[in-house]
Amino acid sequence: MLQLSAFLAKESSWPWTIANTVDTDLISLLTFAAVTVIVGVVLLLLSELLGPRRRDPQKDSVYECGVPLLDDAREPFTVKFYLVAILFILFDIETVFLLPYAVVYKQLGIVGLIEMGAFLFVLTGGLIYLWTRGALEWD
Amino acid sequence: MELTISGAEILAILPAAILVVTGLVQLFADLGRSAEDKHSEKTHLAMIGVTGFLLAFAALFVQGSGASAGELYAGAMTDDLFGRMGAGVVIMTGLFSTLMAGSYLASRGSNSAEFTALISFGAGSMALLCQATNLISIFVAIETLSLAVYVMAGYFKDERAASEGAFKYFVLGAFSSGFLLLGMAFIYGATGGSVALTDIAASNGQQDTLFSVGTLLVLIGFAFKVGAVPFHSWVPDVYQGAPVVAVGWMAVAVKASSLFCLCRFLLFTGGGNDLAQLLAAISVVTILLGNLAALNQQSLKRMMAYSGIAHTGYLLIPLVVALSGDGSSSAASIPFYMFAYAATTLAAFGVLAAISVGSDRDQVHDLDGLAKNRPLLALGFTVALLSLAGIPLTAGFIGKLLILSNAIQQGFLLLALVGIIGSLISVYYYLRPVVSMWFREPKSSFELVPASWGITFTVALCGFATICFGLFPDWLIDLSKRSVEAILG
Repeated sequence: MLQLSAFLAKESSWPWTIANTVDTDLISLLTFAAVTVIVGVVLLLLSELLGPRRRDPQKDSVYECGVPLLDDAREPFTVKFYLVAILFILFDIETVFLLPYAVVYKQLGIVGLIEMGAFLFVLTGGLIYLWTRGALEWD
Repeated sequence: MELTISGAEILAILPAAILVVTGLVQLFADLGRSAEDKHSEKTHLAMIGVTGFLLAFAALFVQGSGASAGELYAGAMTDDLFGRMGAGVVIMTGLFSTLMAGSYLASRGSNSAEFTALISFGAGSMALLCQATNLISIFVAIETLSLAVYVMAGYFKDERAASEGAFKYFVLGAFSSGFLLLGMAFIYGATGGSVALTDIAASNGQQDTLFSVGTLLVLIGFAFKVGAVPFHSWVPDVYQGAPVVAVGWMAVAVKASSLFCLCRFLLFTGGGNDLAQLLAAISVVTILLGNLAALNQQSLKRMMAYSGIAHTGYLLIPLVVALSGDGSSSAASIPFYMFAYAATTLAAFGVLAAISVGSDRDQVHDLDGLAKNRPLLALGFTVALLSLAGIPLTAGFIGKLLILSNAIQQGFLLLALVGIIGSLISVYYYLRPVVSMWFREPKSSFELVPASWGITFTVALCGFATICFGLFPDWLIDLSKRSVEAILG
């Protein structure tokens, strides 16, 4: 290990100075990462090579909690769900901002109120916009 | 902890706030009827936009005029001259893009308020980006402007080229934002947890390798936004698919605001070890590849895309000079070049918008004989192309002169040589449309819808500004110098 770090430290040009400047502990971390990868790959390879393999139609079918399959799950679904998801995130963010604000609104004072007002103004504007454009109607 | 807000802080945020409100008003002004009349020009949107942009421009003059109150928003923003110049370029570009948008989109049957509103929203975030002085506000501003621009790139959503370009832009852009954010995290770590650029400059983490890696990653993020070479592959496809007006807007405003921010970032942080060499390499490759790839383009939009890449390369030269040693005042050529590039490029895209009204003409031979039918449009395009090529008496010439003379003075002979070679190559492809406009016979099928007042006004004013900056550059050069001195302190 010492030899390896000494070898790395000898290199002086730019990217290789990492080992030099950060810490020699990095070597043990790298070793750990390498061992992790090697163990994982070896185990996967062993089970691939040595494991018995008896296939039948029941085994190859998709597991649906024991319920017989109806049809393929990979079918296109309407883009409206996508819109709903986007709108959901929008109002999710509103909640994420409003809840912490509710905790500290006294400390933030009048400026905090104005800033929250500006935020809600833009968000409400967005709501009115998408409502009028019909984004909330399913059909 | 009582939140307080000073007058200078309100003034600093004012241009961006005005632009956001403008965008909202544009959306609401068109709300009831946008579904029906996508073929009408909707002058009211342009009027709202122009009012907003002029107000925001006026706000730039008001802010920073009082006694500087130290840090604004705990170091997240500044109101110095450099940032205001960047915001000025962006706001002017937004104004002209808004003027051109109505008639062009109406002729394509897809004029809706969203387009002009996106220009306003994007302009607001770009103004913030030019004035941002900490890593968080920089990142937020970049993301906001990117979202607006992604949508505009795919505005013709039924067209294949537009979808392809927008999708490439979006995926690669999201990826590059990841690099940007990781780089910022590294810088944050290397400098002991500072986000403000002044704190980063004051900390002693610049010699850290982690800091170099961080600035490198941030540079990758910015290089994507400005279209510098290893990260330029999206540019031609996006330019080809996007509406012409949006391309003009992207080519100028995104590049200007990103470069202003990159310049401020690098001047403050010093860039860490060896960044200057890397930037020099990027600059050389960008100039050469941009110009060489533009040589054989038949599509004017793709030609302008590669020409834009080449101009990014020229703009990186002063950054290289500024980063190495005592040449930091050479960054003064960046604001000037950006003004010159904005006027020139807007004039060029105004003409492209004018000839693609009605049908999507963007081949070089579509220009054949334009001078006989529309001499003024042809004149405007010629001035713009000559300025892009850097022919004397135009703004582009002065800009290149500043950049290259600074580089030579500071001893960057090879870099200047590459810039000169690039300019020489570029003359060929810039003159090709000029030849076809003035010396070819018009085609029989050439029917040109009269250009709208917005486009005519833009081409005339921007062409005029190109000549003006070329003939009387002194005041603008002086302003650029003072702005860079303001951030260097």
